[in-house]
Amino acid sequence: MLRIAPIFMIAILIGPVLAGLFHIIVPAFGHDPELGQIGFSLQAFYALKMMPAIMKSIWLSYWLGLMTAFISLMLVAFFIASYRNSYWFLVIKTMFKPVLAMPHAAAAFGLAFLIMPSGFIIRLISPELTGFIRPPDWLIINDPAGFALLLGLVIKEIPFLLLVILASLPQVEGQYSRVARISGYGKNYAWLISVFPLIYKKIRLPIYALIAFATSVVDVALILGPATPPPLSIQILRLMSDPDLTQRSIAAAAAIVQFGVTILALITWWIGEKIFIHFGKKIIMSGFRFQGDKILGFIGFVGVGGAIFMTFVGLFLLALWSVSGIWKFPQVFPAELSFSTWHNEASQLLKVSWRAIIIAFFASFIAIILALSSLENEYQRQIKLSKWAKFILFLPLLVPQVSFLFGLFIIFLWHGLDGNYFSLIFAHLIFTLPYVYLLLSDSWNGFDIRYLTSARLMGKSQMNVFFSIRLPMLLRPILMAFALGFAISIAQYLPTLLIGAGRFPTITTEAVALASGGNRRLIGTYSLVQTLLPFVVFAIAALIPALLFHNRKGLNNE
Amino acid sequence: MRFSFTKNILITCFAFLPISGFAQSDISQMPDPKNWDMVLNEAKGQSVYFNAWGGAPNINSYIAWVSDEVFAQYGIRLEHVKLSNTADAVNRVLAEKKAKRNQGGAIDLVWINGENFASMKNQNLLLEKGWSYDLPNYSLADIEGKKVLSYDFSEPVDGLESPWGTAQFSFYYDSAELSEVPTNLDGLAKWIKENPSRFTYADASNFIGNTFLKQLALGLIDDKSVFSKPVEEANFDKLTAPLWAWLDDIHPYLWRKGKIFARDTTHLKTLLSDNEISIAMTFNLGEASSAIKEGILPKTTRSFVLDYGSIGNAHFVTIPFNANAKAGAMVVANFMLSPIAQAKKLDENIWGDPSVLAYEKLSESDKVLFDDLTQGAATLGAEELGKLINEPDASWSEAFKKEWLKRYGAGG
Repeated sequence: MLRIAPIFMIAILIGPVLAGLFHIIVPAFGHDPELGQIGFSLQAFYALKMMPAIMKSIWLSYWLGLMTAFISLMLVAFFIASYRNSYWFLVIKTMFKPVLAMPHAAAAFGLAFLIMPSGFIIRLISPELTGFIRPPDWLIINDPAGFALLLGLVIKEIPFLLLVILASLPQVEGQYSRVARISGYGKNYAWLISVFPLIYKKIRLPIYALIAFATSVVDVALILGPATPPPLSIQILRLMSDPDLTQRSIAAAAAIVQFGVTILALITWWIGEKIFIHFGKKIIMSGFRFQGDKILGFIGFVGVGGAIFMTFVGLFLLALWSVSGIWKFPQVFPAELSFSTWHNEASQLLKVSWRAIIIAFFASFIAIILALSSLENEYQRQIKLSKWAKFILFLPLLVPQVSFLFGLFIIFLWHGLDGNYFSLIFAHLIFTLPYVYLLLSDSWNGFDIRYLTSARLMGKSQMNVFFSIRLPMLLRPILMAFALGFAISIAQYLPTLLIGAGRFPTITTEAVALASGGNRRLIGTYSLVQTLLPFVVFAIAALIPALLFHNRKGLNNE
Repeated sequence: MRFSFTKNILITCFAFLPISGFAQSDISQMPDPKNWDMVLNEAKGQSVYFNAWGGAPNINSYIAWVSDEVFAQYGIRLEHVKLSNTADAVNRVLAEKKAKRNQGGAIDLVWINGENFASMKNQNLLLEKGWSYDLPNYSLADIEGKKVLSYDFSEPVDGLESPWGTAQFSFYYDSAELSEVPTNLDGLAKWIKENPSRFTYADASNFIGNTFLKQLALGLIDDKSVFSKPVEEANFDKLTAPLWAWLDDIHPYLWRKGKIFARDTTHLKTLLSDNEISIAMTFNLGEASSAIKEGILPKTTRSFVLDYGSIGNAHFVTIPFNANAKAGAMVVANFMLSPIAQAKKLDENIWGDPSVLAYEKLSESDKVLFDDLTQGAATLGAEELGKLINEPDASWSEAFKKEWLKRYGAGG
C-alpha cells in the first residue's frame, strides 16, 4: 500500500495536467473537426495577435505575477526579520489564519467595498472632511494599470507566505543570526542575511506557485482588475464564452500563450534570484553594516499588519452589506438593517454549503492520506524525492488553471465521467494535494527522527511507530494541512462548474453566479458563508490538539 | 524510483487518452408535442436541468416558483443551474457534441436569445425538428403583434425556441435630482457634456453596452433597414461613422472620463443607486420599479425613452439536441407560456418582465390575472413606450463589439 502511494499521487497530479494541455494544444493549432477545421495552422495565433490591446493584456499578467510575489515576499521577510520574537508576532500568528481561510473572491469584494469611491473609507470622512455628497469620480478599482488588483493579490498572498515560512522556520532557525548579530549587524538585517536565505531555499516552489497563480488569476481580476483591456486570463475566459464558436480556437491559442507568460514570469524570477544572490553575496562579503533596521521593521509591520487589518475590515463590510437595508452615500453605516437576504437565501445556503463541505472534506482527507503514505514511504525506504519529482508535485499549481482545465473537462466528457461526486472530488484533489503535501513535508522533514529510532530500538514495528509516535506528534501540522486543503477545495470555481456539469452547485459556484448580478447584499451574504466554512475548520484544527493534549505539556506548544 | 516515475507518467497518459469510438450515436426518440398527452406522460418523474443566468435574486425566486408549480402539476423536478454567463451552457453543449454524447446531455433547457441562439442554431446544437410552435400554449402568444417572437435578432426562430418574455431599451433616473431629461441624441450629448462624469454605458462585450451602440447607430441614420441584413453585406465603416463620431465627442465627459465602463445592467443600477451617475439604462422595463420595491433606488425614480423609438427583442427557452429530459423540458416551456406564469412574471413584485401573450386571445378568467396587476410609477405605460425598433441582424453584435474594442478597448 505504502509503495504505491507516491505513484498514485504523481499520477493524480501529472496525468490531468498533461492530458488537459494536450486537448488545448490541438485546437490551438487549428485542428477542431467539430468546427470544420482539420490539419495544422497558426491562424488562431495570428488572430490572437490581431486582437486589440492583446499585448497590454499579456504585459499586465506578466507584471502582476512578478510584482505580487516580490512585494508580498519582501513585506513578510521584513516583518519576520523584525518581529519574530515580539508580542506582535504572536498576534499576527493567530490572526492570519482566518485571512488565509478567506477565499480570494470574498477578500477581493471586501477590499472593493473598502476602497472604492463609494466605499467605506470615503464614507468615513465624507462629507465632513471632503465635502463629497456624491462619490468622487476617482479611478480606484478596475484601474487600467492594475494597481487595485495588485493590492488585492498582495493582501491575499501575505498570509500564504506567512504560512509556508512559519512551517519551515523551525527547521532553520539556529544560531546563525546570533553569530551575525555579534559581528555587529543590526538584529533584523542580521536575520535577513543569515537565516532568510536558508528559508528562501525551502519556500522556493510555493513562491513559484504564487507567481503562476498571480499571472493567471481569474476571480480577483474580475472584481478588482482592469477591463479595458483585462489581464490575459480574463481575455481567455471571454473568448471561451463568446457566442461565436470560432473564437474558441483563439481562446485555445490564448491559453497556450498564458502558459508561456507564466513560464516567462518564472524564468524572469529565476534570473532575478541569480542576480540577487550575486549582488547579495557581494554586499554581505563586503561586510556592509546596514543601519536601517527600524525602517525594515516599519515597512514589514505596516505591510503585513495592514494587509491583515484590511482583510478583517473587508470581512466586516461583507457582513454589514449582508444585513443592510437602504445604505446611501455618504452614510457610514446603513440607515436600517434587514435580515431579508439571509432569510430568503437560508435554505439555498444550507444546501450549497453542505455539498461544498462534503466535497472539501473528501478532497482534503484523501490528500492527507496520500501525502502521509507517500512521506512515510520515503522515510521507511530512505528515499529522497528528486528535484524533478518535487517539480511534478507542483505541476498543477504551475500550469495556469485556464490553460488545462478545459482540456481536462473534454476528457471527462469523453468518458462520461462528469457530473458525479467522485469525479468532482478527484478534480479538487488535483489542487488540494500539492499544498497538503507541501505543508506536511516541511513538518515531516523537520521532525526529530531520534524519537522514531528510540521506539524502533524498543522493538516497535514501523507501523506501530508511525501510528503511536509520529502521527500524534505531528497531529497539529496534519490538521493544519487538512484545513488548508479544505479551504482550497471550498474556493474552487472552474473545476466545480465544469466537472460537476453544473449539477453540483456549491457555495462558490453559487456565489459567482449571484455576484454576476452585482447585488451587494447577496455578495456579502454568500462571501461571508464562503469564508466561515473554512474558518470553522481552521478553528477546529487548532482546537483538537489543544483538547487532546491538554495533559501533555511537550505537545502543547506550537 | 525515478524509473517508476517515468513509467507512471506513461501509464497515466494512456489512461487519459480519449477513446472516441466508444460513444454511440443512436438518436433517442423525440417526443412529439402534437401528441401532448404522451409528452406529459413521458415527462412525469423527469428531472429538468434549466440553465439560466442566476445573477438576479428576483428572477431566481420566480424560477423557484415555476419549479414548485411544475412539480405539483406534472411531477417534474426543475433544477435551476445558475449561470454567470449563458455562453457557458452553449460551450457545454458544444463540448458534449465533440465528445459524441448524443443523448443524456447535462442540459435540458436553456434561457437564451440573440447571438447565443444564432450560434447554437448554426452549429446544429438544438433539437432538430421545430417543436415550440406545437406547444399547446403557443396559440396564446402574440405572434401577429410582436415580430420579435418570430425573429430573434433577425434570425428566424423556426420553432427551435419557445418565447418567454420581451424586452425594450429604456433609461431611468431620479426625478428628484433631474427635472428634465433629454429625448433625442443631440439632447443626450449636450446633457452629458453639461454634466461631466454623470453618465456611462457598459462595455460593448456586454449585451446592454452592445444594445446601446445599436440604439445609437439606429438613431444616427435615416434608413434603418440596412441593419436587418448581415453586416457582411453592408458598408460597415460608412454606416457606423456617425456612431463613432458621437461617442468620440462624449467620451471625455463620461464617468471615469471614459477610461473604464460599467460591467452590465446591474452595475449601472448600482452606480445610480450610489449616486455615481445620474442616468442608467436597462433592457427590462420593470427594472426601475422592482429596484424601488427592493429599496435599492429612491421612490422618485422614473423612466424615459428616446423619441425615435427603442430597440426591442424577445428572450426564449430552448432545448439542446442531446437533452436528457426532452419531454420534461417541453412541458416546462409550455408552462412558462401559460397565462398564470406570464402574469406572475409581469408582476413587478416578482420580476416585472413583459408578457409575450396576446391579451385578446385569453379567456375571461385569464384576462383577470393581468387586469389585477398594477404598474409602478417608474414603469412606462403602453402609450409612453414609443416605437419599437427591431434588433439588427445578429452578425452586427460581433462587428460592433470588435470595432468598439479596437477604438476604446485600451482605456479610451
